[in-house]
Amino acid sequence: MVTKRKSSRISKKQKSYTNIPLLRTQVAWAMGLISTIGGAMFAYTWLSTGFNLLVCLGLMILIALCLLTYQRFNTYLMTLDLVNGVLIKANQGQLGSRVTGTKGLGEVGKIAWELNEFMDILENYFNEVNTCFEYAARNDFSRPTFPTALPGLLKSSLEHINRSLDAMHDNVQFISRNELTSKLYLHNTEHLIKDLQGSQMDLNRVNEQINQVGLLAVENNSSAKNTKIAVDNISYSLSTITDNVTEASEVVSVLNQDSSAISKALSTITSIADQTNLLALNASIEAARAGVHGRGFAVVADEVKALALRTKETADEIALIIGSFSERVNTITAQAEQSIELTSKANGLIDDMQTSISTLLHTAEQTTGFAAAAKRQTAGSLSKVDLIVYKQNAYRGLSNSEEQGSIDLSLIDHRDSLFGQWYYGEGSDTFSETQAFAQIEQPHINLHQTVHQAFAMLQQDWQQDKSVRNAIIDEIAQMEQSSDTLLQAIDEMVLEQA
Amino acid sequence: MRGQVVAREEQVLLDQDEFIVSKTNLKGEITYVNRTFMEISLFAEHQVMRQNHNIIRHPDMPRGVYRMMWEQLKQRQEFFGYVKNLCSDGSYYWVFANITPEFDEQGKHCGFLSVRRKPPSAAVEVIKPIYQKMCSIEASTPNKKRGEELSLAYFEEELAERNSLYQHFVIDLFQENGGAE
Ligand SMILES: Cc1cc2nc3c(=O)[nH]c(=O)nc-3n(C[C@H](O)[C@H](O)[C@H](O)COP(=O)(O)O)c2cc1C
Repeated sequence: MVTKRKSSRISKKQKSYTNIPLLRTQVAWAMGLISTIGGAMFAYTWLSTGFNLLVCLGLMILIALCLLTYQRFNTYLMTLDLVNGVLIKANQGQLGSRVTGTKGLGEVGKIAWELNEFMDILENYFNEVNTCFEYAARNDFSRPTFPTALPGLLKSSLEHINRSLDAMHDNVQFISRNELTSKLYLHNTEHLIKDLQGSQMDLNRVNEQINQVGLLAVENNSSAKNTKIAVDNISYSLSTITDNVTEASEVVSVLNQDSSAISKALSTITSIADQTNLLALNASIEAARAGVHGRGFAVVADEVKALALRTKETADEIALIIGSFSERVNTITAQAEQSIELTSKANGLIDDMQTSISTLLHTAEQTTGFAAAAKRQTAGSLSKVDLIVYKQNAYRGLSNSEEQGSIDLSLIDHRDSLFGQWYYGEGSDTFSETQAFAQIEQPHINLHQTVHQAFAMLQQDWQQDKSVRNAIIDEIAQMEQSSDTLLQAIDEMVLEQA
Repeated sequence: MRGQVVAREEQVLLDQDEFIVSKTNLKGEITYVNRTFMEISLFAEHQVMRQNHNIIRHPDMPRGVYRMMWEQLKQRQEFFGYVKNLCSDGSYYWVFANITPEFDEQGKHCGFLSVRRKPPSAAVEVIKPIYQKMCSIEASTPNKKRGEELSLAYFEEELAERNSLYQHFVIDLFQENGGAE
């Protein structure tokens, strides 16, 4: 469409040229006419007055002048042709042609120079406009136009363009900063929440373990109380046993006295029995000798009677003693039984005490275990928090170049970071035995590397170059990936050690 | 023609509202100069036509700058630079030059166009010591090509120190010192 319009315009121009007699033909005609008229006048004078050398010379000069004029004119016209050519090309949008070598061509030369300089200005104007928009199309606003030295309207036009470019630039910068920060923000919030939830879970676990420790402490306390009661009971039982035993020994000494009394009584019985025996023998002898003498017999009979009385008394005495003896023996038996019962009771109490003590020991061990686990969990949590804080600093530094503190912290070497210090120090003391511990190092190095690379890219023209912004976002996405791997490895490490 | 003119310490200033225009063919031979060119450099049109553009080259200019310029132009990219040029009477003038490739009707690359403006004097003062150092690097390196590389490497260092790129640097120098008013 465009080319059609262009060609129709040219043909229109060419058409209009055919209607106007060109200067060159006009001059040729004029010079021809002058020469012809001169020739005719010469022929007329020759015929009427004969050959005249002067007139002939004049004619020659006239013709020569005509030729010279035509030639000179031709040079002007050729220059004008050039001027025409430049204008035609300019009309077609080609601003590059100029007219040169016009020295000594007077007014025509002046026109040629004015045209040249007009073309210089036009060409420069369009060059400036085209170039800076070409740059702007690539999102590069570093190339302004240069309005200096251009005249009036063209100058103010370029100035306007510069101002518009500045506005566009601000806009693009605003948009790209927004885009960058919003993408960063998205990553950040998404992961921050996840991270925080992780920490929360850790803290819950720690809390749970601390609760367990609390319960154990209560248990320990009550079993300690039980132990005290058991020990008290034991000491009570033992004192009862002592009392009983002293009582028993007293009873035994009484028993001893009683038994000596019995043996005395028995010997009395024995002597009585001997006397009775002797008397009975005497009586039988006397009875046999006197026969009727009853008197003697009566004495013996009295004696036997008294003896029988004493014997009865003694027997009663023995029965009494034996009665009290068996009573004492009964008491001793009962006391011994009581003692046995008390001892077995004491044994039971001692058993209870032993179980109490072993429970106490077990729970104490458990308490220590829980406390150690809680400590590891806390160490893991703290190291995670270090990483989260590192990432937060990276996000802050990337979104705002004035956050120098955050930037410095982000650019720190992985060994010097808080996490690095822990990992290569205290952390390694606690966890170096675990498999997961070794798996932590690489993602941690990657985490720092991606952050460092993202910051390096900020040095490039990220405001104008979308690809740089995307590359920064890519690095941050990778950072989050490393961070995920890292956090997972920390969890595994804590679990593994448990 | 080059080498006939002996440089001397006299500066000619370009006017704020003038620019110098010249065009060359692909070989760098002049095909057009405007009147401002002739007025300031004191060369007549016929003296410069078909001559290489180095006819106005000043000895104080480091070769590295032209090398960079040609590399830029070969990639069909415009070049900006501060240039010290020689007049036919040995005096000199500073310009802020912009050189662009030119294309004919068929879109074929046919030559180069240079438009030069008056540079802010503060910008020239920044450039001068850099060019001097570049010249001395080139003078002390026997191998010509190596000298240009070294002097350009030095320029790169200067740019890195300023945390800038060449084109940004020269344009900023022009703009910041009121080049565009
Ligand atoms: C369009 C155009 C304009 C140029 N303008 C200048 C100029 O103003 N001054 C200059 O010294 N060289 C200019 N040159 C570069 C010269 O052609 C040449 O490369 C330079 O002077 C170095 O010359 P040398 O290689 O002989 O040392 C220009 C080149 C082109 C294509």
